[in-house]
Amino acid sequence: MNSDRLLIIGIPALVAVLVHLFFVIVMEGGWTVAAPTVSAKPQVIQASLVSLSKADQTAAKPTSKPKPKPKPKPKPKPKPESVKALEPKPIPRPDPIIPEPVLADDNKTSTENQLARLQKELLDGLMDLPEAEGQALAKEVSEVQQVAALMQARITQNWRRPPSARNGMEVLLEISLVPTGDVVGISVSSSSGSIAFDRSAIAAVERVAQFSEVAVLPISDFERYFRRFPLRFKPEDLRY
Amino acid sequence: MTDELSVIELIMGASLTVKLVMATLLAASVASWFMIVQRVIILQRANAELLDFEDRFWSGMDLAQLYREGSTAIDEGFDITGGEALFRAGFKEFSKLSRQENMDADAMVEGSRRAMRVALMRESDRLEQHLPFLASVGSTSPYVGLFGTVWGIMHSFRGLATSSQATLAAVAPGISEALIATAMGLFAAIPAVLAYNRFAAKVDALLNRYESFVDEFSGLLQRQSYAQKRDQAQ
Repeated sequence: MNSDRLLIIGIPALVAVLVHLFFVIVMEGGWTVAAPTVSAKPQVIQASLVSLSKADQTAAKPTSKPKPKPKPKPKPKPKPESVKALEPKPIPRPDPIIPEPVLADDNKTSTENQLARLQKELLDGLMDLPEAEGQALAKEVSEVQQVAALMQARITQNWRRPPSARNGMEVLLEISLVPTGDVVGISVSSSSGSIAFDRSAIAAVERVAQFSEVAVLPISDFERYFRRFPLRFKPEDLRY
Repeated sequence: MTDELSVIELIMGASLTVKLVMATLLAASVASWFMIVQRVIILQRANAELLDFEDRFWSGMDLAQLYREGSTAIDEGFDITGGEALFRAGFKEFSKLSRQENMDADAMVEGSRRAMRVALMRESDRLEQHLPFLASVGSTSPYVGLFGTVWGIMHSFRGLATSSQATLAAVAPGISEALIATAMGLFAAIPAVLAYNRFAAKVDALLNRYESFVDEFSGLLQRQSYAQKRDQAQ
């Protein structure tokens, strides 16, 4: 009789609690599914952001030569802030390096050379990082980061900022790739408020058209990180 | 900016009234699920019990023997419910009355019938227990949820009145959080209403079968009592 009581009260109580727990988990999970994929990518992209803004300078500099000197100074300060959260190490390195190639290459204006150097620096910096942190994901992350760094460099090269660009502007694009690296979709997921600025960011991606770098990644990593990923454009180096 | 608001965060950020509403609804939902599962178990058991008892009853075994078996089961600590409880109530009353001198046959049947009615009432109480709760959760919890939502939206718009520029971002979290209350109300209400309707129909069907058993059994008793009287008269 006692066991019967237990059955009639215990089972319903258990089921009632389980039903609600399940519902809460499904709801929480359902809502956060988008968040983890996004947060994994911003790491990659944010690193590129920092360099984006710098590289952007590099792109801007060849056209406007008088500016090169004032820029190197303001840059170091804003960059650490944006980079800090993600990877303190790789960013400081590329940053000092980038201004140099820009200045040196200014004369030659051989952007190819510049790009190659930039990529190499970023690669080295990123490859050091996982070892320093020495943890589980190291290899996969380093590969993904290498690719992200290359992509970032390419986008940076192709980005022509409009004159209306200001510090603090930020546009978040959602890029869709296919495994060959072809860009199949670009959409603005969070506008900067300036249409010209948003358009410049879209144009930069369109100009790249194909990110052949992703072809080296295993398909699972591609699906996880690059099938759809957010890309942030944020100039922080401007003086106004 | 890439983080979406999680539901839990939203709930934690809600005002006290909305939180209270949500807590009430959660409690109502848990309680109604508890009762739903309990009813399912109890009704299924009652159904199986009745089928089993009817099998035994119509198998042609001696009714006194059946009664004695039930008595030993009670001694062993089992609860006798359902059809067997009706049978025991009627049979006990009948044998008590038939032991009395110059008892009218009709009165004997009437007495045992009354005893079975009482047992039937008890059974129907047992089966219908908690059903009113399900009905009221089903009918009121959407309103309670709606109250929480209206209250939450009221608050978020009031906050908007004092701020100089009206942006969607200023009210959206408040509204989103308030709407959770309505969702919870519906979440509690829908299963409760479905379960109430289903259980009410099932209980009705069971009670009908009990009643027809009572009629059949009193028919048997009537035949028995007239046969007894005739024997006594001869």
